[in-house]
Amino acid sequence: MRWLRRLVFSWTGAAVAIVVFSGALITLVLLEHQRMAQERETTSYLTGTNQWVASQVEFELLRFQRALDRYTFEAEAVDHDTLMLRFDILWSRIPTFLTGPEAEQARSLEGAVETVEGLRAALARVEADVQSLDPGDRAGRRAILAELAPFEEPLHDITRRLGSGQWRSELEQRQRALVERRRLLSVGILTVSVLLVLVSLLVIQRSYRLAKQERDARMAAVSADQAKTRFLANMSHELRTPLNAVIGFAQIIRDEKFGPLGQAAYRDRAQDILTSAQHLLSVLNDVLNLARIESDRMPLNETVCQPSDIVARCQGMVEPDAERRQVRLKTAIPDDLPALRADPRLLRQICLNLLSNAIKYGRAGGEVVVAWRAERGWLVMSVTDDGPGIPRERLESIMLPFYQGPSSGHDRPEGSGLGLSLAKRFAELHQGYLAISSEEGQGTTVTVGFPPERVVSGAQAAEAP
Amino acid sequence: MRAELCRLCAGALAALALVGAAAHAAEPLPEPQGRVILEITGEIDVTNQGEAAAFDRAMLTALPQAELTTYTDWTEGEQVFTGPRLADVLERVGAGGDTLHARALNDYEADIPRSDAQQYKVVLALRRNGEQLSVRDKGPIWIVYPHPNPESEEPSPHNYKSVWQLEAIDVR
Repeated sequence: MRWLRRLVFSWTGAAVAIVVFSGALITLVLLEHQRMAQERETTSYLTGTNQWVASQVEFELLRFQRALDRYTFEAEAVDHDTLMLRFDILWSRIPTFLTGPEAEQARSLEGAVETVEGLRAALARVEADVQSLDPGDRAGRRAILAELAPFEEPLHDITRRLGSGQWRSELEQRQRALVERRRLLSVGILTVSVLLVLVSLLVIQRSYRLAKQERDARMAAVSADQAKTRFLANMSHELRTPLNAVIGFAQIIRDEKFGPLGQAAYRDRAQDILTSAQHLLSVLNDVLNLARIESDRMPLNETVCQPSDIVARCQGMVEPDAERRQVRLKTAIPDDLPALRADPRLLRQICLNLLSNAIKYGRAGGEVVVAWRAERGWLVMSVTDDGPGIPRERLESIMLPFYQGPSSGHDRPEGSGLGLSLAKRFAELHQGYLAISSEEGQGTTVTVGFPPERVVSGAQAAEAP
Repeated sequence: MRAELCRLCAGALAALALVGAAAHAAEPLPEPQGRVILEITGEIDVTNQGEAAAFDRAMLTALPQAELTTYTDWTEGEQVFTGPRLADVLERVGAGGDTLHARALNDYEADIPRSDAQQYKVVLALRRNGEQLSVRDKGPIWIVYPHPNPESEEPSPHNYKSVWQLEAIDVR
C-alpha cells in the first residue's frame, strides 16, 4: 500500500499549500474590502461635512435676518448683543466656507465662491449700520436687508446642489470607478494566487516523479551490483578451474610423465600450451582482481608482514626472468626496519608487479634495486631500474589499466597491462599510495608508501605469529 | 499614656479627613460678573446658577493659563493659543462622567471623550497670538488640540472635536 501512502502524502502537501494561499488571498481581499468601505465612509463624511458648511452660511444668514426682524419689531425679544452675536456668527461662517479643509467640494461648485465672497463684501458694507441700529428702526432694517437678501437664493442654490443630483452623481461615479479598480485588483490577486498554487502543485508532483525515478534507478543499480557479485563469484571459479586443468595436463605432457612422447616437437608444443595457459591464468587473475577492487569486494586479510620476507619470495619468483635479461637484482633493506600490518598476498603482488615491470622495461644487463625505508612515519618501498625511463607525456597513461609500454625485443606482449594499476589499487586499499618518478634516459623509480597506522613497532612485531 | 495616644490618633484622623475633604471638595464658584461665555452642566459638583456652572471671561482667565503652540487646519502657520486647560476647568467644577457634550453658538455639537483632557492637553483658547478671540475669529472660546502631524496633508483626527464658538459643555 506504499503507493496509497505516497498519494495521501502528496495530497496533504497540496492541501496545506492550498490552505496557506487561500488564507493569504482571503486576507488580501478582506483588506481591500475594508479599504473600500473606509473610502466610502470618508466620501459620505465629506458629503455630510460639505453640506453642513454650505448650509451653515445660508442658515445663519436666515437666523440673522430673523434676529433683525425681531430686534426691529419685537424689541424686548432680542437685544442688541444678541443681534451682533448672530451677525458675528454669520460672519464667521464665511472663512470656513472659503478656506476650511472640509468645504473643498462645496467650493468646487460653480459660482459658489463668488456668491460667498459677495456676501462677505456685503456684510462688511452693512457692519456699521448693524452696530448702530436702534430697535424699531424699520428704514435701517430695510437698508440692511437690501444688501443681504439678494444672497438668499444663491446660497440656497449651493446647499441644494450639494444635497442632491449632479455633484453627488460625480462623486458616485468616482466611487464606482474606484470600486471597479479594486475589484480588478482582487481578481488579479486571485488569478496570481491560483496560478501560484497550480505551479506549486506541479512542482510537488514533479519532485515526486523524480524521487520515484531515482528510487527505481537505485534499485536497478543494486540489482546490477548483485548480479556482478554473483558473476564474479561464478566466473572466478568457472574460468580458473578449466584453465588449471589445461595447465596441469600440459605439464604432464611436457614432463612425459606417462612415457616418452616420441617427437621432441610434441614436448615443445606442450610447453607452448603451458606458457600460454599460464599467461592466460595470470591475465585472468589480474582482471578478476581489478573487477573485485572496482566493486569494492577486495577483503584484506591483514597480518604482520616482514618486508624483507616478501621481497625475498618475490626475488625468487622473478629470478628466471631476471637471468634471461641479465638483470642484476639488488636489495637495500635496513635490519631495524619495522614490520607492516598488511595483506601479505597483496603485498607480494605489488612487489612482484613492480619487479616484473622493472625487469621487463629496464636495461638489459642493467640493475634493479628494491629498497625499503622509514620516511616520516611511513614505510616506503621503492623499485628502481636504470632503463630508458618514461617520457613525461606517458607517465599518466601508464597508470591506466591495460596500457602496455613498448616492450623491448619481444614479439608477444607479456603480462596483462594491469600490473601497475593493480599495484596502485592494492596500495590504496592499505590507505597507501603509489608514485612514479622517471626521466627519459635516467631510469624509473616506483615508490609505494604505507601509512604510519600500519607500521608495527618491534615489540608488536615480536608478538605476531 | 493610653489616653494621650488616643488623642493623638483622633487628631491625626481629623487632620487626614480635613485634608481629604479639602482635596476632594472644590471651592465654591463665585457668581459671574460679566457676560457668561461658558456654561457647564451635567455631572458636576460645583454650580453657581442653579444646576449649571457659569463662567464669564474673568473667571476663565483667573484659572491657570496655558500656552499651546501648534498648527490648525483653519489657520496658516504656527499659532500660540492661550487659555485655561480643559482639565483645569473640569477640575474646578468637580466634573465626573466620561463624555463631554460640547455645543457651539451656531448649534454645532460634538462629543469629546473626558480622557482627551489629560491625554492631549486640550486648551480652551481665549486668545490667539495674544489677540482675544472674537466671535468672528472662532471665539469667544475655541477648543484647541495639538496638531499630530502638521507636515502632512492629512487633516487632524481631532478636527471634529475642536469646537469653536464654544457655548456650553454638558458633562455626561
